[in-house]
Amino acid sequence: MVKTLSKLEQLVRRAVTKGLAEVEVYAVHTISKQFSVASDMIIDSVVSEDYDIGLRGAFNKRIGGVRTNTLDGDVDKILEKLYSVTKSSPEDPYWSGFPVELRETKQVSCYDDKVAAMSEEELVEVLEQAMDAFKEPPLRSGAEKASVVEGSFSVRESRIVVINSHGVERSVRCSNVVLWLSLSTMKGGAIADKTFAYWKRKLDIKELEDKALRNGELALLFLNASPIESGNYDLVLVPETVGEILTYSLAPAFSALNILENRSPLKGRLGELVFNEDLTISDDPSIEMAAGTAPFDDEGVPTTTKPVVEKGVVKSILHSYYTARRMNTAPTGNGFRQYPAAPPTPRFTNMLVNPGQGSLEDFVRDISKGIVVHEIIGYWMSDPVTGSTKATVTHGLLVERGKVVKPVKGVVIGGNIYEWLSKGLLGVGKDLEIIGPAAAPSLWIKEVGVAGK
Amino acid sequence: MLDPGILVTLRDELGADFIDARVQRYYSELVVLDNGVVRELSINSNQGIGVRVIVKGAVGYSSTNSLEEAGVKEAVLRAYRVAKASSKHSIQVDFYRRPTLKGKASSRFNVDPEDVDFSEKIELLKSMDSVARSVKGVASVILRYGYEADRRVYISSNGDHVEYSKKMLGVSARLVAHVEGTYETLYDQESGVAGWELIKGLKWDDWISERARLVVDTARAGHAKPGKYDIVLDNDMVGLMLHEAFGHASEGDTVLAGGSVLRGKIGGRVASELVTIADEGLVDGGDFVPYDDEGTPKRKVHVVKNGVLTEFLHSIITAKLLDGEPTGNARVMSYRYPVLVRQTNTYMEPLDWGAEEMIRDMRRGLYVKGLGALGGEVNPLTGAFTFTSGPSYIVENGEPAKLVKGVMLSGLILETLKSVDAVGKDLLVRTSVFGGCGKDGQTVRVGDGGPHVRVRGFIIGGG
Repeated sequence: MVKTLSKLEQLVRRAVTKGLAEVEVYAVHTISKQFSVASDMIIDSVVSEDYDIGLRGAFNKRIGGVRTNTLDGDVDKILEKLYSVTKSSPEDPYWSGFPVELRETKQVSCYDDKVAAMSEEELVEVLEQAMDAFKEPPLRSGAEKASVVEGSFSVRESRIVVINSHGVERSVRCSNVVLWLSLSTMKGGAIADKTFAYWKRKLDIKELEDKALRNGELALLFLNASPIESGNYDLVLVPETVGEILTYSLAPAFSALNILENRSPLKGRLGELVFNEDLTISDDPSIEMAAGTAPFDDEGVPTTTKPVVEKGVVKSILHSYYTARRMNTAPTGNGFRQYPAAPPTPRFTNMLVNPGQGSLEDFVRDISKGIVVHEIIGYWMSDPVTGSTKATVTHGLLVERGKVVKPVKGVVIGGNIYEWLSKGLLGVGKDLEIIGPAAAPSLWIKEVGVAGK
Repeated sequence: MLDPGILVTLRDELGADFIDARVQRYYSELVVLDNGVVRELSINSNQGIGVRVIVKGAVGYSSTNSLEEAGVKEAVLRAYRVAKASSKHSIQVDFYRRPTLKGKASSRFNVDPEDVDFSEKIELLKSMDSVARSVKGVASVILRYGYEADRRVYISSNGDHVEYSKKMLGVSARLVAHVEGTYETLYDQESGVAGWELIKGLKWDDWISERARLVVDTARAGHAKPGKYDIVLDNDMVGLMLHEAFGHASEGDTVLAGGSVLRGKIGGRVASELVTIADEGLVDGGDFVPYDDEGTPKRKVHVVKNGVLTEFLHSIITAKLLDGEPTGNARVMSYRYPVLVRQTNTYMEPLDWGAEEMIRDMRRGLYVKGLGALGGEVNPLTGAFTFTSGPSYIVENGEPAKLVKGVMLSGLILETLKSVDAVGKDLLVRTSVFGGCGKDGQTVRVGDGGPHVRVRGFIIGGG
């Protein structure tokens, strides 16, 4: 990386000699280890080391990008390519340059040195323990069979570098731990399955095993699941499903770019009561070792913790440097890229939904007709522009008069997230869970349309 | 270019069972026009080698972006070490032995898109942008031009040397309408394995105008009431349904792991006898897969024939362990990734109904359209699958009577296709340069389609 870093610096210095007024480099060096699981065993193991380098250049309000995975060879050739691409691009009238004069970043750690130092053998042991913990509860409860049919465990260590020709120079080392396992279990001849995921910047073996055990305990609840009658049902979304739904149907609406370009229902609603007063949502880059925890964004701008919704009122929106300049305000440290040469667009670091006072058990007790939604698919096809939210429930529990009566699968839940989170919101749980770059409690939503039999 | 001989030597030196390598050179272009402003104009070129070592039944992978012999040797050693490190907990895999393979294939094109100046690509999008934004009610327009050239070479310690290359390009649009306080969105794209002639051959202004008017009309449309419907699916929707409903559950690695409800059901009835589902590498309108990433020539597979489950999709490992034959479905997203069993072009074979005839005969139900559909997802273990549609029509008295917003459809693998009671004659397969199918963190290009198909009693919701 040291050799590559000095090449990147050289590249930025030489950019101006090639006719580019500004240049920005975003580079990632990644070392990763991954183990895939099939039928309780490892089916393959991967170790890899990679570079992914993005360059963006600008002159006369024209901006272009080049992505490569190697700087072997002539740096001048890359710059000539970048100049040629940039020259081809028409002017962006709103362009006001790459970031300049940034304040210092806060101390936010995103690196777990212990997991980075673990050998392949040690990681395999962790994976084995997680699989055993997942299988143990159903076997203890008399299941004839419990098997981890599929899964994956990966540990990644990345060095991220952001440099631009205005003197911005940031570098950080982050780790990323992702594990997901799918369990199949059989009891009394009936089959059920359950999937769970662990996704953080650190490996907490105790937390991982607790999660595996908890999900293993849930598995047998879904034996003989089937669709139910169509109708209106209250929904209790467990934290995992809250995180999944809000990430796709709500989070993009806080992007300043989407607001500027007429793709957000929150346009013009800053300061308004849009949501239920029990709802507070923040952008929080400092949650301890969560997947989106980071000291700066992909432009080198320091990240900051701030509420976007406070007691139902829209308090702030998320900016990249570009959108902040367009709206004549300060960048918020939310400029992230889809890949290294892509322009940064605003998104959450970690989206935190503040916990409330309720509990899943309380919600169930108070429901006359509802579904506790444990796993969903297709939620990513929800639409953040309209707020239209839809998902198919693969693991649900039907509740009637305060009691769980049977498991449910294959039904579609649908509605609008702005209705669900305003007059539809009946309860916010205290059971906060961190799931990747989202942290959320359970939510109880009133009378949602369900399509079933 | 690397010779398979290096892998033979390394295999013998290390005492490995098998070593193979995937060499890739990839180049892509992307232009994004966001409400008339070029948001992104970028090129991407990368290259590398991914190696796999099978040693005493354990499988290790590693990759490098060095195409030099020393870099490859180092990657092989890393893959060997990680395979050994996990061997205590590994499945003892075996692989299908076959004669040495040699082959070469390239997709056809007339005009190389790399020879076309960016200004022409930008002009195309700008023209479409002004057409779209002239439609009253259109509030936001994102247009993309995408192109990729993917060259892959496969070599192995079996002496195999297979290479193929393809060029693929297309245009996509994401439109937002804002009408009387209501937002609506519509996404669509048109792609093909071809050269610039594909772009020149289409009337893009008409294409975008039709979609712009549709999104505005849909903003004013209502929702279909959630429930069970008789439906006619158009060509795109049939492709989506098959990909989710049967495609994933028939992938050999998912079956092998015990993660598919189709395991143990070969020879069993899983669909109406009208249903025949094919997975084929070279289809008009589809992706171009002459070989897979183990060098196996892609052959046409009937996953379901006349309603009976006939064959799974295989790699050389799943073929051996599930007692099948390689089908040419071992694929990787790029050289960095391990081989997974993936679909190529999935479609239903046509029969004899006309689309209008099918709708007329249904009398009452929903005509589910794919223009604007976003995709689908399946849990092959539970057997539940789901996919969304574009704006669709309520059918009354045998006619598409009323436009409704896109719906979400949900079914169960072992039940839904038993309710197919009419299959059309109008086969159409499509692919996309902007997306594909995701599995275990890898996205690969696929194609899917079919003729119009009628299904009785489908769960429809999402309104």
